[in-house]
Amino acid sequence: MKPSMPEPVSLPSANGSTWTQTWTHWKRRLYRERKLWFICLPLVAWVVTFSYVPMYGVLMAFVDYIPGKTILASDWVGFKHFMAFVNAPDFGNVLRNTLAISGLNILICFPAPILLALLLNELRHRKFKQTVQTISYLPHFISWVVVASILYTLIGNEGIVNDLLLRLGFIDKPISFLGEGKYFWGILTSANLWKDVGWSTIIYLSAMAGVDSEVYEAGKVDGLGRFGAMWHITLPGIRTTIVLLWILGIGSILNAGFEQQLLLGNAQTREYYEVIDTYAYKYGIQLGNYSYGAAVGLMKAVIGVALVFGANKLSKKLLDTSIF
Amino acid sequence: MRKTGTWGIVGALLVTTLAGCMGGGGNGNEGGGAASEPAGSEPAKTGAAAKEETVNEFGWKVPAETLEINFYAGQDNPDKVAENSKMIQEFLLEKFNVKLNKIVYDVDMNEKLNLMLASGDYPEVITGLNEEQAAKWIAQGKAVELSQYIDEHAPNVKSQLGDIYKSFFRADGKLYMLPSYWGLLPIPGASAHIRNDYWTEMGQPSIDTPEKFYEVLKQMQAAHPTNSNGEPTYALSGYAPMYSRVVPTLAGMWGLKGGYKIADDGTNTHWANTDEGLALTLYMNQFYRDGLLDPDSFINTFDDMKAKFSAERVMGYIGSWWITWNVGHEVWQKTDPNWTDDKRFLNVAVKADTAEKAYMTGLDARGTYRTIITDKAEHPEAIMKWFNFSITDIGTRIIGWGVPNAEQSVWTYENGKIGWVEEMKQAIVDGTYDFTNSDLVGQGVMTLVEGIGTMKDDGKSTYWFDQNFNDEAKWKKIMNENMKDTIYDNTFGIINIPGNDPLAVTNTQVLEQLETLWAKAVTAGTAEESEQFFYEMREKLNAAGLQQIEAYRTKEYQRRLAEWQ
Repeated sequence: MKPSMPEPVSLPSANGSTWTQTWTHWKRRLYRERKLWFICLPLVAWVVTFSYVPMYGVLMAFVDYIPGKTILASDWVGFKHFMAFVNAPDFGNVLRNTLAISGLNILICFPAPILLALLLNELRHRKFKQTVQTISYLPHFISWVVVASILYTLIGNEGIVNDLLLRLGFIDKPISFLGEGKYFWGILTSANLWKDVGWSTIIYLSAMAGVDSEVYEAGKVDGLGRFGAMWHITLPGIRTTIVLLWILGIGSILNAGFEQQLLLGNAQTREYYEVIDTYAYKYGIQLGNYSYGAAVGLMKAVIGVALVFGANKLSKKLLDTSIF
Repeated sequence: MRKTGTWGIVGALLVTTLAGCMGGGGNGNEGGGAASEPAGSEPAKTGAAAKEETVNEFGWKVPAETLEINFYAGQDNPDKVAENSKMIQEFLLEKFNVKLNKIVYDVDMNEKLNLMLASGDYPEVITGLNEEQAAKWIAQGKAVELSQYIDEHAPNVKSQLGDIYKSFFRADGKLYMLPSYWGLLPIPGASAHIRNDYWTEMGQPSIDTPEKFYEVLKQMQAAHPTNSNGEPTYALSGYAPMYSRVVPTLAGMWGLKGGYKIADDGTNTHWANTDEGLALTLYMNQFYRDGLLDPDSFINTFDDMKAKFSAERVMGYIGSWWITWNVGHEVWQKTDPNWTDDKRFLNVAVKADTAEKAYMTGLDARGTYRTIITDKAEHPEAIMKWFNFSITDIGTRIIGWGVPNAEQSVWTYENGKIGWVEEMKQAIVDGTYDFTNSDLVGQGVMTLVEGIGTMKDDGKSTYWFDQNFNDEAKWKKIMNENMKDTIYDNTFGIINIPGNDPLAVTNTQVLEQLETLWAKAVTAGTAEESEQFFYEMREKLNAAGLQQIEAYRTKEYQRRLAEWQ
């Protein structure tokens, strides 16, 4: 067995020289790439100004901020607002709703565009394919305000669906689809699916377009049918894209929506629609408890980042694919 | 060439970035909510249009220089407010050399107030605040102490407010807010409502108890199951949030005051913790189970509900008196060529047998809204002088009734004599008055510290133009007669929790749960289930802090009993 060599120890002078070398290297590189850096400068400044400087505001979560005072002049309260959220009577409900709505989105709305993209990818008639794609994108451009009004017209107490069911004699009293909490998650998931399934196919279709056509030819030669090619060539070909979007999706698991809840929810369904964002809006912005709102938002963001790292690690371990 | 091009791009990017960063020096309203005047416009100032100081025909000492007051008045449509302000603003400027700029935004008032506090961009006067909102401004040191200015410049404020003046002082002897819409006008504010023509058709059966009200509505709905378009009808409807729109009046039928049972010693018990609360819940559940309650009652916005009422799909309501006037005959007058005078809603008093008295209209002598002068005011004394005039009886008339002596005016003022424009008065008496005319002459637009009780000079006039002829207007007279025993003074019972008190968050949590859980109890499939849900609601609300709120109210009520009596 070969004895292991000890790690070379850098002496202070040698260390200093390494730093000098690195700095000289960077200076040269900066000078060489100066035009690119100048072009980037406004964008870097923009990111610093609008994405990093405002992060100073997260301090608000740790103080008793009162509008009119500066954050630093406010009383430091540590984790008081975080604890207040965790101990709030609505905490359990809010967390349950957030996870349930997001979970349903990941379970249904995440695979649905993959499936639709696979189907669209198999269409051979170019015009038909383009028409179907365009139609499937359209709901994405409809605002939630309009979607909510469509839903009220369709499934409200006096909506088309209830009217039809009453006329056909299936029910003798309208079903309050929008007034009973038990329907809320289903309605919201369906609306999310309808609205974004087409739009989300774009990224998968572009990934599919990148799969080498020769692989399909080879598959054909090996006797793969259309389903076989889908399973053995297309899906593995877009695996990286799927994993990437899945990891990002997991990171957003606490983003269960906002406008749709406010527009479709009502007092009767509050136990099912209230999610972290609507809660933070009501108790933070509307009541003027900005510190409380900031604490709720920060807690959500930290959990989101942790989930991204966790999902990334899991994916690296199981699928050998990761985003960093 | 390539090098020049590259540097050109770099330069352009830098210039555009810098231009973008430096271009925001305009006023804070750019791209934001529109306002009739920017919040940060010049504070109470004296204008260039200098005049000789004289006393005008209304008794106002016209300042030598224009007194300009910018005031924020909450959420409203800025365009509409600007339009409604025009005539009264011009009148005040011409006759008083006072320019009042009313600022509103189409943004939630709470949010806007918080943004104003955070940004420091607010005008010198803010009105329409509730006490919790005002407390926040006072706590921040943004409100000016007023008693010093009142003592020196505003004797009318003291004399007009009378006994209630002291109630606005804090424990430390300082005064920061004045009321608007204060005073007692003993007219009904809320009632049970029923379709008058259908009730007449039925032979005008008695409707003095909740049970009779229910029975009459039930029969009425059975007789008119659909409207002329074949759409289903409902005996009763409401709009969200029901706990504040309907419950206080409904609970009043069972003898509660503003939704609270108030003991002689001042102990406040929320209706959810009373037997009366259970009774009224089961009562509403009965409507629901029998298909008589509009199933969207907890979802409806006011406009949704109005559409149903206007389409003759609803026969009853419980709440503010004016609702069914606005959504009923005031619409039908314009849309139905065959409209007859008795096709309208009637306001009726209903009292449960278990209650000693029905308390449907709670009056608040102190008024609900507050006005503050902020630290942006350069001359608070000048603003106080205006308050001192506008709070007088003649000032209240100008602000309440709008511009006098104009073509569209409802009143005249000549040589110190006040008179009604007969045509306008008759329209009120006949119930045909077009309220868009009130907007035009600026009625109520510039309200800052006005009282709505009976005026002291003649002992009968009041700020609300349409309430001045109640003895002559047939339907108002009927309403007042029907409701006279249900009106009570609830000045001690109107208690708000200050916004900076942690209990305010608890209160919001309780109210949110209240609406949800009460909706569940009302829309239960059986009476047993409804009762079970009611008790669950009680338990959850108390766990969320309802009893803390009761304790807060009790303490404050008892303090008022001791100090204000």
